[in-house]
Amino acid sequence: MQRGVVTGTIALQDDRSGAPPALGSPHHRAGPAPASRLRGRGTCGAAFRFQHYFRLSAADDPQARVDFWPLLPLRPETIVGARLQTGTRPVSYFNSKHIGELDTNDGFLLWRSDSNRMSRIGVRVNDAVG
Amino acid sequence: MHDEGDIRQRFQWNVPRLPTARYLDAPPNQTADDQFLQFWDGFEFCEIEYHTRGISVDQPEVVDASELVSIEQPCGNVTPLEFLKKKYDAT
Repeated sequence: MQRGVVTGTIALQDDRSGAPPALGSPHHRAGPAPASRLRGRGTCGAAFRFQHYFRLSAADDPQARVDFWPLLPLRPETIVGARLQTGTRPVSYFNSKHIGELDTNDGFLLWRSDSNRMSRIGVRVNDAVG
Repeated sequence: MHDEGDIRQRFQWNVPRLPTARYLDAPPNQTADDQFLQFWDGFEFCEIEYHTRGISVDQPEVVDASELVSIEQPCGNVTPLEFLKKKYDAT
């Protein structure tokens, strides 16, 4: 068995103003997941579970709606992607002409980062699998 | 997924998907209520993010849970797509 230490920082801010959001006592938990899921010849790894609880305690506009987006930065030339429903395609957010090749074969979206596209793509909730 | 020498590394992020939820984000100058996952490429890095459903003063709470699995194995003759499929079968 191998042991390691994972450290991280959770920082919350309003995406528009940069100010701390008006949240009541957000709770976060992180911990290891069962290692039995990683068994396999020549394969090693680790699994972690994250739990977050948020409560919007106040808003200047009573009709305001907000969301949270956990994100994972990765190295250049990483292939990112997701499982997709058959026949679906991702959504272009911006710089669509620079998105480049999107492989959607066999139910998997695969997009190889070159770290310079300045492009963003999205996946609709009903186009994703899992 | 990323190759580091002869080793292929993979992060599999199992995130909560709520088909009936109303999501908030949308591409610029568009409206949408179903944008769930996003991928960024630029500024010398790439990024994966997922969104929670929207909350408001009337419906102020959201509980979110995900699982991040990091896996690596020798590249061998396994293609990236085969590696993806193998992992999904294994979980």
